[in-house]
Amino acid sequence: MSQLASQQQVVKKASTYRISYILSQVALYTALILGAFIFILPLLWMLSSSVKPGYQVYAVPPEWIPDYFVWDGYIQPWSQFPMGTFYKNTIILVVLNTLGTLLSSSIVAFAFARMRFRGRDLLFVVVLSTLMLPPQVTLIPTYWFFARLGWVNTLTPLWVTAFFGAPFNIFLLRQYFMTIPLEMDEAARMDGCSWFDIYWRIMIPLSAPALGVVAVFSVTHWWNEFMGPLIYLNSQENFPLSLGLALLNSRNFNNVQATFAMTSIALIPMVVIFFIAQKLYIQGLVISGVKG
Amino acid sequence: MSQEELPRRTISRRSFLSMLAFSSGASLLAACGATVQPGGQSIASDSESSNSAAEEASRPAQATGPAELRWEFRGDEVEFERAKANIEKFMEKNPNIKVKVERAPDEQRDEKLVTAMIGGTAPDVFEAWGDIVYKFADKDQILDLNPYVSDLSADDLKDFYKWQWDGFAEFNNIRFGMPKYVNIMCLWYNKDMFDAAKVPYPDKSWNHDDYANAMKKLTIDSDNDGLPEVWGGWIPAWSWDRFWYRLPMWGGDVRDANDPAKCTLDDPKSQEALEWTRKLMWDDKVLAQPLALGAKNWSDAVFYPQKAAMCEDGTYPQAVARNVAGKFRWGYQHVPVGPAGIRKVLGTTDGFCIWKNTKYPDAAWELVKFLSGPIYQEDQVKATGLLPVRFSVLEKWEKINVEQAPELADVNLNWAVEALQEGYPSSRRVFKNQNAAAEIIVPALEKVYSIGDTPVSYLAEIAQEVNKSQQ
Amino acid sequence: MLNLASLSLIGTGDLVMAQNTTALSKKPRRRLSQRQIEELVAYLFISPWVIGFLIFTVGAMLFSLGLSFFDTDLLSRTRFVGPGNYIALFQDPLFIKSLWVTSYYSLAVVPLGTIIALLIALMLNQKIVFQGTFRVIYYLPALVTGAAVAVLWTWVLNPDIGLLNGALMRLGIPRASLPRWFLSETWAVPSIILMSLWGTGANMLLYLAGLQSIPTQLYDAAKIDGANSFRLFWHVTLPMLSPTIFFNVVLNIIASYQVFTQAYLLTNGGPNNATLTMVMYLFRKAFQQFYFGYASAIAWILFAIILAFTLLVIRSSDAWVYYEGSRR
Repeated sequence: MSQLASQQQVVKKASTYRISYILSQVALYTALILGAFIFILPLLWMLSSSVKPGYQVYAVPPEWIPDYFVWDGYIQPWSQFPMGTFYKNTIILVVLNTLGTLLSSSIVAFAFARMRFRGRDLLFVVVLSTLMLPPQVTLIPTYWFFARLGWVNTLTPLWVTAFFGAPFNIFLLRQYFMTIPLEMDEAARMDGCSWFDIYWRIMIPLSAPALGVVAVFSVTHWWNEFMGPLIYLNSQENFPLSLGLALLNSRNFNNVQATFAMTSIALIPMVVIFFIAQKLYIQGLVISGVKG
Repeated sequence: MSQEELPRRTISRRSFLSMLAFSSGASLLAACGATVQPGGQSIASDSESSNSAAEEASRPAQATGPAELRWEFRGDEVEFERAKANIEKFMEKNPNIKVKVERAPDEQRDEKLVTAMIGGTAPDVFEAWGDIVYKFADKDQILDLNPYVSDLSADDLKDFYKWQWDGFAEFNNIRFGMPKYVNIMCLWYNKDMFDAAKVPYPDKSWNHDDYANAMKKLTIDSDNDGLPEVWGGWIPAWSWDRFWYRLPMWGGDVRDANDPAKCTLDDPKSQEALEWTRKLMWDDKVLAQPLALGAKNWSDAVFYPQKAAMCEDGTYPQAVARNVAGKFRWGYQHVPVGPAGIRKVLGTTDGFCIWKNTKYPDAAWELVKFLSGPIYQEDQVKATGLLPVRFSVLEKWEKINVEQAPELADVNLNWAVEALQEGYPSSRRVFKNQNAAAEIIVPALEKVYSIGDTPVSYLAEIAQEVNKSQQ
Repeated sequence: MLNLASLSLIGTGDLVMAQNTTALSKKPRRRLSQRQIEELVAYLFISPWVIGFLIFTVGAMLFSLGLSFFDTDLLSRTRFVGPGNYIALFQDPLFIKSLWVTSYYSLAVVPLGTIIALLIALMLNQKIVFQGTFRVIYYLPALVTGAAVAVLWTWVLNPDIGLLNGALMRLGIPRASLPRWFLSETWAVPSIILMSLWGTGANMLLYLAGLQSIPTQLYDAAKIDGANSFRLFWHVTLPMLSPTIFFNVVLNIIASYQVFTQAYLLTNGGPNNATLTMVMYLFRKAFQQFYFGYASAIAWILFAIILAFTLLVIRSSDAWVYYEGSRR
C-alpha cells in the first residue's frame, strides 16, 4: 500500500516537474528568439539594403524586399579589385597573428598562472597596464620606430608583435589556466615532467576552449583590422581585405549600398568560421572533460 | 590652453625625436634602420627643411636625379583606372619623373596623413580641401605654390574660376594647392511632389520668401502631430561650412570680411538669417530637423525615399541619378536669392597639395599642374560626373553627364554652368584660429538646430567667446 | 616558432640541471633548489612578453609620458612646460565634461554588459535546438565593424525614420514624446550604451567558454545533494565562473574608459559635447589640432583612472574570485 502511495507521489512530483520544465522551456525560447530578433534585425536591414535601389534604403516604414536587386556592391569588387591579393594579405595576417599569439601568449600566461617567481604580481599589473594607455597616443612613436626600421608599407609591423604575447590574451589564458585544478601539475611533477611538459602536454590540451576563444578573437580581429593596415600600408598590393574594400567608399558622396555590400562580403566568411569553431571548441569540451 | 606664462625652453624637433630612440631602449635598432628608408624619405633632411621657414618666397631646391613621386589618390575604381592611364601618359612626357599612385580610403585618412607627416613618410602629392588643409598649412606642411603658378600663362589662369582660384590662397599667405574639382551647393527638388502639391517648380527668380512658402505648401503632416511625414525642405544644418553661406544672403556673415579674428554671428543681419532657418525648422516645422550629427551627408535619407520635396546639397548628378533610379522626376535649381538681393553658396576648394618636405618639389609641381590641366580634368568628369575646375572643360560637363545617364537631360544641369559663369559661389571663411572657433561654434549650432531648444540669440552670445578665443 | 624550439630544449633541461647539481659536487657548489629552478624557468617563459615590451611598448609609453610635459605639435613647435598641461587640463571645462561623460558611460556599460552577456551565455549554454545558429546570431554584431556600423546605427536610432522609434511607436508611444537619441543631450550617451550592448558578443563568448569548462561532476554532486537550479547557479556556476567574470570586468573597465569609435563615427562628440568622451577629446586635440603634449596628458590621466579602478577590482577579487588552481 505504502509503496503504491509513494509511487503515486513520484508520478505526481514528476508531472509538476514536467509542467515547470515546459514552462521554463517556453520562457527560455521566448527570450532567446526575442533577443536573437533584436540582435539580427539591423544586420538583416544591412543585408537587404546592400542590394536595394537607393530610393528604397531609407524608406519608412522599412522595406525589406528590394523592388529589384542591385548587385553592383558585390560585383564591382570582383571585377575591379585585385581581390585575390587582398585575400592573400588578409590570410597572411590572420595566420601569423593567430599562430603567434597562441604560442607566445599561452606560455607567458602559463608562467603567470601556474608558477611562482618574484615580482609575479607586479609584473602582471605591468602586463595589464599596457592595455590602459589609449592606442591613439602610442601610434605616432610606434610608427616612427617602425618607419626607422624600414617597415612602413610592409606587412611586418602588423604581425611581428604577435609573437611577443598580447596582454589581452595573456590575461585571458591566465584566468583559464587558474581554473584548472592544481593536483594535475603536482602529479605530473612527481612523475618527473618538466615545466615545459606540463605546459605543453597538460595545460594546452586541457585549454582547448580558451585557446579556441583566443583563436576566434584573433582571426576575427585581424580579418576586420582596419587602423593598423591603414596607417602602415601605402601600396594596394599590400592591402588586406578590410582596407581594400574600404576603397569602395572613397567617394565624395555616400554610397550606402556599397558600404553595406563590402561589410557583408567581409562578414560572411567570418560567420562560417565562427559556426564551425563554436562546434569544435565550445561543444567539444564537455566530452573531453576537465577532471583527470 | 594658457601655457604662455610657463617657462620657455625650446628643443629642436630633431633632438626631440631622438629622445624616443633612447627611451625605447632600442636606439641601436633605430640607428641601423635609419639607412633603409621607405619612399626615400630621411628624417634628417625633413627636419632641416621644416626649420627653414625663411625661404618661403622662393622655390625650394630639388634633389638631383630622376624624381620618384608618390601620389595619394582618393576616388573610386573607375577614376583610378583613368588616373593610372593618365599617369602613364604623363610619365612618357616627363621621362625624368616616376609617379606611384597609391590609394587610401577616406575613412580616418587624416590620421594616416598626420602620422606619416610626423614619421617623415607622407606622400609627395595628396588631396586636401579648405576645411582640413588649414591645419597642415598652419604646421608648415604644405608647399606654397605662389612661386610656381607664375609658370602659368594668362590664358591658362583665366580658365580657372576666379573665386576658387582665390580660395586656394585664403590663409597663411600661401597658395595651398591646385584645384581638383568643385562642389557647389544647389537646390534639388522632387518634381512629382511639386506636381502633387500643385506648386510651380522653383526657378531662378525665387527669393527666400518663395522658398519658405513652397516648403509650407509641400509639407505633409496628415495627423497634425507636428512631425510631418514629408518635409518641405532639407538643408545641411550639420556642417558649419555648408551652413554659413546663407548669412551673406542677408547681408551678414560668420566672420568679419577683413578681420579673421572677429566673429560676426551677433550681427543683426546674421541673426535674421540664422532665425529664418531655425523658425522654419522648429516653429513652422516645414524644414527637416537634422537627422544626424557630424559630417554625414544625410540628404540621401530624405531625398531618395521622398521624405523631403527639396534639398540643398552639393552637385553629384551621377550619384543622384543612380539612387533615384527613375523612381520619381527631379531637377536642379539655383539656391534662391536672399533678402540682400544676392545669391551666395559654398563652392569648395578641393585640391591637390604638395607636401612641404618632398624631395622633388619641381616634379610634384609638374604633376599637380597636369592633374588640374584640361586633359586630366576631362577624364575626371567622365569618371565621376563631378564639376571640373576649368571653363574649357565645363563646356563639356553637361554633355558628358547626359551620355553617362540620359535621364540627366531634363534635370537642368545647365544651372551649374550658369552659377560658375556668374561666379557667385565662394569658398568658406576661415578663422584665425579655426580650431578654437569650431570648439565653441559647433556645439552652439547643435544646441540651436539639432537639439532645437535654444534661440539664435545664443549664437550672438557666443560670438564674444569666439572673439576671445582668437586672441 | 623560434620560441618553441628553444623552450623545449630548456624544458627538459631544467630537470637535467637539477640532477647534475646533486650528482657531482667537487666543491660545495650552490645547488639550485626546485624553487629557484621554477623561478628561472618562469622568467624564461615570460621572456617573449618581456622582450616585446622592451622593444615595442615601453619606448612608446615613455615617449608619450615625456610628451605630456611639452607643448608640441611634433612638427614645428616644441616647448617644455613641466606640469603645465596637467594644470591646464583641470581648468579646461571640456576636459572635465569628457571625464563625466566617460565615467557615466563606463558606470552604465560595465555592469549592464556583464549581466546581459552572462544571461545570453547562460541561455546559449542550455541544450537547445539550433544552438549553433543562436550562438552565431548573438555573436554576429561583434563581427561588424567600421563605416557600416555608423550608417546602421544612425539609421536604427534616427528619431524620424529609424527602426527603434518606429517600433516604439507601434507600442503606442506618441510620436512627440519619442526620444531623439543621438540628437538629444539626455539620450546621446544611452544611445552609445545601446550600441555597445548590441556588440556584446565577445563577452558572451568568454562566458560561454567559462561555462563549458565547469566540470559536470560538480553539478551531478550538487544535484545528489538536492540543490535546485537557483542554488546550482549560486553555489556552483557563479564561483566557478568568477575568474571569467573577473577578466571581463577588468577588460570592460579598460575598454569602456577608452570608448572612442562610437563617438567618432556617429556623433563627433556632439550634440553640445554630450558624447565627448576622453579619447574623443584626446583624438581631437592630437590629430585635428596638433596639441600632442596636451593629448598625451589626457592619456596619462586616463591611464591613472583606469589603473586605479583595475587595482581596486584586483584587490577586491580575493573576496569573490575563486581559483581552482592558484599557487601563491
